[in-house]
Amino acid sequence: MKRLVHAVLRGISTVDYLARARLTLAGWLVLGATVAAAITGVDTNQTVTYQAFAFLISVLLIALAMSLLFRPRVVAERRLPRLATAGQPVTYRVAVTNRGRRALRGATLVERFADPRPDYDEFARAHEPGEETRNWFDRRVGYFRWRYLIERRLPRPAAECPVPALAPGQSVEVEMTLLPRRRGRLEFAGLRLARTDPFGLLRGIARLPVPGKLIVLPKRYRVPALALPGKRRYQPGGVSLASSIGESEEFVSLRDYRPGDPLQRLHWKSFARTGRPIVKEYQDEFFERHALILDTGMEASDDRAFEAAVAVAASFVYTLDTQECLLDLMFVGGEVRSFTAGRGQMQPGQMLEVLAGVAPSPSGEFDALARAVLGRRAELTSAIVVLVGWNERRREFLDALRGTGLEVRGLLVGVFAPPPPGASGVVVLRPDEVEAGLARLQ
Amino acid sequence: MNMPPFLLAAALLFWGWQAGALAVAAVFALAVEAPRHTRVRFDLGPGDYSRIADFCTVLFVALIVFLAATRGVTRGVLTAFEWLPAVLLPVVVAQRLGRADRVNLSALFLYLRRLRQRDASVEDPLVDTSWVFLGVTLIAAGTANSRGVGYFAGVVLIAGWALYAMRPRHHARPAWLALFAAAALSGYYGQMGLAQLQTMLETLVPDWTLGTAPDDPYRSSTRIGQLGEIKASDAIVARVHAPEADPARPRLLHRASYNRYSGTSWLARTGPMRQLTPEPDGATWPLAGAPAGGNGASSRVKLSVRLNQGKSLLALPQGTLKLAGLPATRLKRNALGAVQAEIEGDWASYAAETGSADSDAPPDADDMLVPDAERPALRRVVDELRLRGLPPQQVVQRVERFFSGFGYSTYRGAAAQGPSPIADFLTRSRSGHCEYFAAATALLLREAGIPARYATGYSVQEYSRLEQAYLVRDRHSHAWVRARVDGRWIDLDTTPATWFAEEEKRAPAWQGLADLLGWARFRLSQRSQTPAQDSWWLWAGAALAVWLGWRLAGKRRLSRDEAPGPPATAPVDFPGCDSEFYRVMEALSARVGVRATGEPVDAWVARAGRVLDARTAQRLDRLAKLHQRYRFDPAGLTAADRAQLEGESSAMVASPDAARTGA
Repeated sequence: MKRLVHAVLRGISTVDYLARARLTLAGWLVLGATVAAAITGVDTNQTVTYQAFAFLISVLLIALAMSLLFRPRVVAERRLPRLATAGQPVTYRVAVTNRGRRALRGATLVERFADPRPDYDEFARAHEPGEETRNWFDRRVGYFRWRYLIERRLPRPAAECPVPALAPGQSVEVEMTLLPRRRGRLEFAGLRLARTDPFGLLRGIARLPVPGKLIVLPKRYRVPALALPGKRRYQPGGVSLASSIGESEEFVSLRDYRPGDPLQRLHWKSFARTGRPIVKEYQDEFFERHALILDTGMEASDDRAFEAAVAVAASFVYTLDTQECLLDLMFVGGEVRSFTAGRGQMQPGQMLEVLAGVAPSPSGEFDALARAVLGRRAELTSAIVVLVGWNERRREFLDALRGTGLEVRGLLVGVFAPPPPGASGVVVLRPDEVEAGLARLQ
Repeated sequence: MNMPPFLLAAALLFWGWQAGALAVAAVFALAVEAPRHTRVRFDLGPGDYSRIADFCTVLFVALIVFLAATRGVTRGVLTAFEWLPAVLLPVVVAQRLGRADRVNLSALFLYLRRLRQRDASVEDPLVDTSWVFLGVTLIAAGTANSRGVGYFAGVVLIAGWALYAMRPRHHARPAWLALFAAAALSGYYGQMGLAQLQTMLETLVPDWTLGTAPDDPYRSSTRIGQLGEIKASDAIVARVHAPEADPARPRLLHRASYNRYSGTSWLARTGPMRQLTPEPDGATWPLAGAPAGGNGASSRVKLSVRLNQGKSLLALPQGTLKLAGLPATRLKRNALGAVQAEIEGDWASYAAETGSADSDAPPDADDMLVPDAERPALRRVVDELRLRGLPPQQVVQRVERFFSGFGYSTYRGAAAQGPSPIADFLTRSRSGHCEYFAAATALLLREAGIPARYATGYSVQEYSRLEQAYLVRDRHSHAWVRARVDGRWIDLDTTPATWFAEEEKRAPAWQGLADLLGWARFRLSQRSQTPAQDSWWLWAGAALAVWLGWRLAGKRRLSRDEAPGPPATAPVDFPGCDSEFYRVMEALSARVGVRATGEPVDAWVARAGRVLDARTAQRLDRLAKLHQRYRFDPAGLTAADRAQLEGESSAMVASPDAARTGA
């Protein structure tokens, strides 16, 4: 039954897509009037609206025929930036060249994206935010879930971009804007060059194959300037850990060679002068090292909470000053993954790209993350833990971190009213009021 | 895209012409056009528009309910659609009197309002309802069913006006005109084709015009041989207005007769239904066979019959010669006495004048046909009753006596044994419902040499003191025989008299209450049968709408200073934002191209220089420099420079010829 529903929704989406691509606003109006005239005029003895139907359907058919005659020879090139941010408009330019022998007037450009329709497995598995509040029929049919799955893959629909009149052989650059709704990768299938028929009801369409892709970084919130407390910890490996090229250690003194010292540290001049191996000694490195732990283990399929949690993590990554400290971003993506920013390691922008691709993981994988973090606690100064669910295991994890003397800030993203038991000291952020919640952070 | 002036008014006048309400339409037209010519505006917000739209919705639902109750569902719904422009008018007028001349989409859709309550980020665009209203008005004009070419011509003209106004400018005007003429021509022939198609279908398939199966004068599917319980509803389908126990009242109301038995169905094999011509008053209909000139009527009975989707087989007493007081648009009759009326509303009331004259067709070979499958059993009974050779009167008496020994039953537990259900009924079960009795009697009489037809209709027995009339319910549906005896058709009902009492036992406990409600509905429907009689509700509704509108908007009227002139644009606030050079760039954008976001003014001017003639380009360059100084020079412009910027910019905007290419 679900497969049938999926097939029907897929068919409806196809028709909807084609109709939206073809019909202008006036076209929808005329089509609506035609359908209304057909319904009220089905018995020609009862009403005369069949006459309106005959006329309007003639208009539509002629408009369709004229729109099909639109066959421009046009090439286009899209100049996309590499990155965009969810919720922020991105502007780019498209060069259009008329290769035909006739001038092109009144055309418009619209983006075409890769097929956003979910396959059956995704449709059956996914949940729309707030789906549990829908009525039985909507939950059963899943139309709103279907719409949600499609919409989250597409940017907000943009208005058609008018293309100035193009003489044969002429090129022009137009500026297009799109507004990504969600982080991740946005795949472009091409462009659609359209022009309305003489009645202005239907668009003639030429599909320009211009593929492209854009990485959409997570949305970011304003985070108050946080003074992350804690003391510096010894970092094994010294500054070399924090330096991408060469060594930049602080020289302290010379001392006699001890077995095991690396040969690079031999001070040859002293060796020559004294006749015994002398090595250089460097100061041990102590940094502040903070961990940003993103819980990707979803208890329930609340996509909004997950997206808000990723956005919160992105906000910290972007805001925390990593000039003088290290920041480890840790989450589960198949396995426990850790990325370090600061002191010559990754840049915040690269960390955001990592976060653009984070996906939810099974709830059970939180244990692996917890083990990995606790295994590193000796190096850490403080931890910011962004949780998307609450249970006994997570509470124990926070307690264990605090027990080691770490400064821990727990953030729980989701709708919890009242706050879950045992979550004292954890700041609860509602997905729709994240910024207000973050502003309360001390 | 704004609607051209007077288009909506023209559409409303066209609607008024078609609906026969020109005066009302003129008032409406004035209401929608007046805001264009006055600066009176009201500060209406999304909440106000929502309330107005809700009011219209409630009004429309109430209108549908009222009209469906008084005129029947089909006619009622169509009439409600006919008046839909009147119902929706407050929304359009409110839009035009509002500050933005647009309505929030959420005002029209409750669902969107709920979505926005849940998530305020859901978009709520401003929409122009005028275009939808225009479409509604054109379709509503068609539901008035005013025949002739006027409707088609009006739709073509008004739709053409609208299409021309919003045509894209990149196509040549002659091409548009040629295509529109082609559409109008094709539409004209198309609508003629549609009308002819329906006529053809009506001719080929009588069922098309004859309504649903229970009202089919050409076929009566019986439930002979069907197992289980036969059930019918308690709905009242007719009322016979006669005093209680009036001996002259009709006992049976005939609807249709059939002359050929096939399978378990009775068919009428006659020619097509013939249309009847009313007398000059339009409501008196002499039936075929009535004596010409004189009325020949001996009695008169008043009936009210429930209609089936505006057309129905009328229930008539035997020997009906004339129908009076029946405002039908069309009346047809077939040779076997079935009369079908096309009439608006849910109920038809009329007086049936009966007489001794016989209006049904004389018997023919079809009235003597006996299916081969039934013949052995029938022959055995005929032989048993020794009917052969007897005078018809005696045959009828013996047949009646024969069936008086049978029982009445609406339940059949086991399949028929033998060649057919009728044979089983005659020879073994000797029990059944009225269709068994009528079918068996008709075939038996035929076998005995007497022409007979299977007749269907209602039995009239239940009297209601509340209504002072006999009530006929759906479960009083009955079948009997019309036999040709001594040169006349007589009704012969062989079903045991106990059948009626048996059926009455099925009445539910709440029948009294249902009858009371049904009577109230019937009385309501009798109050208004013609549009002229009930136009009071329109005026009352309009007065209510105006009063409510005034109450709603009276306190929100904007003063003359607050009333906006041109449509509001996004507020701008930066030094030099009032520079006239912006208007110059807008005026030249069609030729030069729109200045892209972030494109420096100098770059745009350089681009313009490649398109415009040298003199204009120089002027533009000079203006651009003044503009830049006005925008960014801390010292600003001198009064003379400011005047020059303003004057030259206005001149350039006013005379685009000055900016012609390559002049």
